[in-house]
Amino acid sequence: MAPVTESASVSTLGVRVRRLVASQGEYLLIISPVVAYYVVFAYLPMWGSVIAFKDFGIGDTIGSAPWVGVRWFVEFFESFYFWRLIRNTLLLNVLMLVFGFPAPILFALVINELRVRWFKRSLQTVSYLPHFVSTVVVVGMMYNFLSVSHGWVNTVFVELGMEKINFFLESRYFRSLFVGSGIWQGFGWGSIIFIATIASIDSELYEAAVIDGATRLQQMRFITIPGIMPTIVIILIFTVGNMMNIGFEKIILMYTPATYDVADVIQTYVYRQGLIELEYSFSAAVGLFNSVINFALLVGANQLARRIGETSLW
Amino acid sequence: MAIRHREPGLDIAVWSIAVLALLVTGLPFLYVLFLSVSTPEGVFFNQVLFLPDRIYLQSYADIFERAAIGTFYFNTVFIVAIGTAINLVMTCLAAYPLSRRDFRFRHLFMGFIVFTMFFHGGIIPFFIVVRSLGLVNTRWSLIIPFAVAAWHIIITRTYFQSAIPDSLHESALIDGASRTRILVSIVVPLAKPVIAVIALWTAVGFWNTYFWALVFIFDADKQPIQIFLVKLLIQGQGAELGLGRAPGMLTRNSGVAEQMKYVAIVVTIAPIVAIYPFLQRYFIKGVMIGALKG
Repeated sequence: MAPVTESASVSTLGVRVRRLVASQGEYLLIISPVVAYYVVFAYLPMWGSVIAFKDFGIGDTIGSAPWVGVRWFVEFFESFYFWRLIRNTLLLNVLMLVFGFPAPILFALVINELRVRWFKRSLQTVSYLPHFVSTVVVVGMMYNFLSVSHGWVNTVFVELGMEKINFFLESRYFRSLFVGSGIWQGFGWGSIIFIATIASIDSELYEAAVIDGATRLQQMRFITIPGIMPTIVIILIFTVGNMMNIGFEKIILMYTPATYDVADVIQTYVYRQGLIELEYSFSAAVGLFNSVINFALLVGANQLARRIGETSLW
Repeated sequence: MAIRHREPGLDIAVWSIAVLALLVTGLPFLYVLFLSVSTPEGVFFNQVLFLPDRIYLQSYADIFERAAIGTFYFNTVFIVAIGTAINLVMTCLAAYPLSRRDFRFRHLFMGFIVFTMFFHGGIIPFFIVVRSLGLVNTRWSLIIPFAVAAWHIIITRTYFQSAIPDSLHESALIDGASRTRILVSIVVPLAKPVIAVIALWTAVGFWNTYFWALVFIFDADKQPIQIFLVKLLIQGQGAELGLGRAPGMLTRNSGVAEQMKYVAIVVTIAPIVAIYPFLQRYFIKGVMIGALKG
């Protein structure tokens, strides 16, 4: 009995494999370049982050470097920089969230109240523009405008009899510049999704409200804002989930050693230690710490959203 | 449409915010444009507050001749063209199988791709991988490691699912078309709107990329335009770029680097600003397609 069953199962297996290849083979072939891409440029670096537990020198490969356990993590947690980096990363992101997140929502509400079509159109077009301009241009424009020798801001200060301010060399201006330019870049583009959501709200709700004597402000408060709430939650999850990453490319252009005390965040520190000081293993450990927190934040924010409402990412 | 009552308080608030938003976003661009067509002396001696002192276009010729911005420009165009083309092909190659319900492993591969959006190996291991492939200090280092984006795959897959009827796919299969053939001759032509959106986003992304260029490319003749801007505007290397500001030379040359900064900004953002109003609706459409299913 036994051999018969075996050969039968082998033949069904063979048939199944052949059938699978016939029906799925071409799909697998089509998607294979993309899979190869992700293996090499996403999963290989993930595996490569084991160098955080190794001592990776210049001549080493990821495999050959000797293991050192959690040495780099301990070194990082005990270093002078640790709390400063945590504080700066959280603070800049929380400030960005508090001031930057409501801006597109407010702007969408304003756009929704505008009734002069040509003005509304041009305002939208102009407000999206900063989104398409590179970080380098945004920071470069700030440098130019705020320059001590030739910037118009300081020229105006001098005209008004005030002292010139070297904005990029003084720590106390950094946060405002970072958050302000962030809002400038994002408020218009960020509003698109809210404007579209507002447009999809049932107009009968507004008509009924008007009959009940609701003012426009009340309509905004009791119809428009509740109407866009699910969208707000989703976007908030995205924002919180990306908290640890946003903005480091801009900070690298904006900060100077004189402003590191407020400007240096985990990712900029990783960049400096890893790609300039070439402390690969140590900076990979710091980077891994960052990735893990980021992942936890995203999962946590999603769980929270799931509990609060029906909206979640997965 | 409901009758809208006049509410002066609300109207004043709405209009002040609207006008403020318009000025704050529009004026900096206008200012940069005005200074780029002013004279170098006027800019250097802070005589141009907003309107140009007089129209002076020589700087636009100078930036190409003296600062060799052309090489940087060419590198960017190269990266944008090849990078966008590769991205489009890769996005379709991923989105098509993932959009098909008869592809049994679609959830597996989808998870495989989506996971990379949430968890990164970090910039150091990524750098080590790219370096070990021998891509560092070539233009390809800005193209191959960025050959496709998970977010674009998701958007395109959603579009394929909603815009291409199953029946069309099945009848093509019955007619003996291979899946590759279906992708090339049926799916892609029907998905032009989403492909246009992805192309635009990708092209703008490549045009603006600077961070990895800073990390990967050391030779000036391979660097993209954004690095030129970093050197000129942020690192203050006007002199190294051929825009002399030798000490003691208080005539034309001193002002050149200062005013060139504005010219460089205009030259860099001009292509984007020029195409953008015409393509605005595609960009917005993309946001909408993306929002359908995040």
